[in-house]
Amino acid sequence: MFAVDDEPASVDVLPHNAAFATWKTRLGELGGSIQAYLAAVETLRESTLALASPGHDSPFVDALYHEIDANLSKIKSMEAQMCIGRTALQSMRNQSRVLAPINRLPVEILSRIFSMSIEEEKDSVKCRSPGQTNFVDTPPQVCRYWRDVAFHTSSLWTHITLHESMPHHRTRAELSLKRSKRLPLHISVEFMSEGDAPWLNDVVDLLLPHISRCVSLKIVVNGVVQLEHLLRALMGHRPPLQMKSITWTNKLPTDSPLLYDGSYDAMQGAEHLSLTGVAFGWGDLTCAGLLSLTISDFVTACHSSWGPPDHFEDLLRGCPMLEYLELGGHGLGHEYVDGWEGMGHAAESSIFLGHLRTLKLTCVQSYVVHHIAFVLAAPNLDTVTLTEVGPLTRTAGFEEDACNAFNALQAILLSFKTSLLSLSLRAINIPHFGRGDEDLESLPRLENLTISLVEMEWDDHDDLLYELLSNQFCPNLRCLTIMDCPTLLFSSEHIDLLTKRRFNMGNPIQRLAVRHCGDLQGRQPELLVQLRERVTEFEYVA
Amino acid sequence: MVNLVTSDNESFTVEKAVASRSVLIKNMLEDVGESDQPIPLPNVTASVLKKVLEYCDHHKNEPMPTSEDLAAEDTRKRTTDIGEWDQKFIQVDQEMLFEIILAANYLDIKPLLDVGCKTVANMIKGKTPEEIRKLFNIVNDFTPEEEAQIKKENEWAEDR
Repeated sequence: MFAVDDEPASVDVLPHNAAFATWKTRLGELGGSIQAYLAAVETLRESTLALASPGHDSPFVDALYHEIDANLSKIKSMEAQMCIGRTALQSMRNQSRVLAPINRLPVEILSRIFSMSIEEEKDSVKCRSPGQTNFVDTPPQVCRYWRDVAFHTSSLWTHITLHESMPHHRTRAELSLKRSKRLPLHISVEFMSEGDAPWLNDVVDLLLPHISRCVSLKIVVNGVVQLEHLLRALMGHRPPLQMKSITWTNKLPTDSPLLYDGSYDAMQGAEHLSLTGVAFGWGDLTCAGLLSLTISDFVTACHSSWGPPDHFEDLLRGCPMLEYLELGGHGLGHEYVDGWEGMGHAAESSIFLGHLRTLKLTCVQSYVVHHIAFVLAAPNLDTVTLTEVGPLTRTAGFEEDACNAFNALQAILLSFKTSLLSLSLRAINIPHFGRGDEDLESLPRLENLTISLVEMEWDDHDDLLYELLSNQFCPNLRCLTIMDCPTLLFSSEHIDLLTKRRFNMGNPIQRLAVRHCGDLQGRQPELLVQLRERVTEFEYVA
Repeated sequence: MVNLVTSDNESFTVEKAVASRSVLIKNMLEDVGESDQPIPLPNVTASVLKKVLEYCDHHKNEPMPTSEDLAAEDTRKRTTDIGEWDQKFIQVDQEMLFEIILAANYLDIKPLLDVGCKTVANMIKGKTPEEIRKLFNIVNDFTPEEEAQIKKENEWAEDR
């Protein structure tokens, strides 16, 4: 209750002006009064014990209770006033240049620090653990000064998130829209209901007055109808929005393309475009400034809506600045798509993407991978990730043997062998690979290799691993990650390669991670000992 | 050479190229022309100026940031990466760190201001409000009503 005494040292260094001195004197007097009060309470307690004896009527006792209640009420009021006094003292302490030197920084500099922190967080947002709060929520909780500065730092409030299941988002969004002043906005809307959408109309009413500031629009819906509804309402805006980043996800994909033409205007200036479960006609898109393109449901579910592959090729030709290309499907086993077996629709290396650094292909048929490798000329492509690239399931007009995952991998390696630094292979189904039967293209610059073969018999890939690790294939390999291979069993040849031959050749693996490959400790304990001795950084996660 | 006089009356004679890393001093030199007159720096103490000049001397041969650079930085992302030398330079106690930031702001040495701000940004990154208070010796000065409001806001944050 009398918290001032908690920090006598702090109080002593504060300026002793007249008001403060008076306050401190009164506080001392109050302390004395409280002591006297506590003594009186004890006396009262003893006297009330006496009142319990016969001879005192009810009105007398009731009046006493009322008096005590009234005094308690006064004391509570006094306590509240003292808390206010304590808060004032705390604020004064926070303003002390000696006690809290960071608060010497003027508003504009503290604001600048907050802005830097939020920018850093945006970069690492994908790494944030689910329980970790956003940085924007932290400064306003530190102290009053930081709270004021945070609320006046517009750049902290430019991310607007509206999720249907979280009604408080609206209040938060209103505040953010106000605090962000005139800065560009990054808007995210998630609506997972189907059918009629009064909530969406509410969102439109909230966002529409600010939509001209929107540079990044992320929408997640459960149906193309809701997406169109939202886009029509938000993008009827004139002049067309100048958006840099577009992420639209429809979790209920259909073959129906998005019909709203206004979307194309918004995409024209985009630098980042990510579409999942949303189909456009390839030929209708013009995105000359695109830096990253992510298309899920590529070819497979929505292939008929996207149009023929030569339109896709035209789109890529129109994106000379493209740095990142990610194409994904819904899983293997979809029907064969006319045209993509191509290998002749476009001339070899006829699509030049000089800035392309990263290519990710997920759940894409082998023949499509083969085709992309064939037509693409990307001299600076250094990172390739292939996930669940599988064999053709319907082979009309196409030889299965000529188009399995191994051939697709070979095509990628052949096309990009001179630039590739990092290669990740996950759940690649490569049948019948035998050492010496196939010639893997060597990758002279490759430094990072990740192999992840979920629930596949490792024995089948024993020879492939040998080839991948061999000196001829990738002499500069430095980092190797093997994960999700529960049946992994290193052969003596692998061990020899990893622990001796590469080491003796002067190009050892410097970082080796074996994760989620079962109980290697139980299966091959001696191997782990050798790896720990020989590999500079060895990580083993059972 | 340029003669700088600190708030505690200490004189520093430094190369013009070093002193001119400060836009404030550079403009003063341009305004007064060739002169032997000392330049008073009433907002900077000797110990802080010594550190600031160490920074300026190390970076004296680097190109000065142009207005285009500054504008571009405002529109593009700012990262909190700090160069190796700068990291070692800025390893000082908190009081000196904030003094350097204030001096860089006053003297208009944008790159040094950035190094200081990035250092503080890195210090607060990933910390809870309580950890930040402890780190910087700040006390919780919210009223009970404000605390309740913050708690409510925090529930929103946890829901996100």
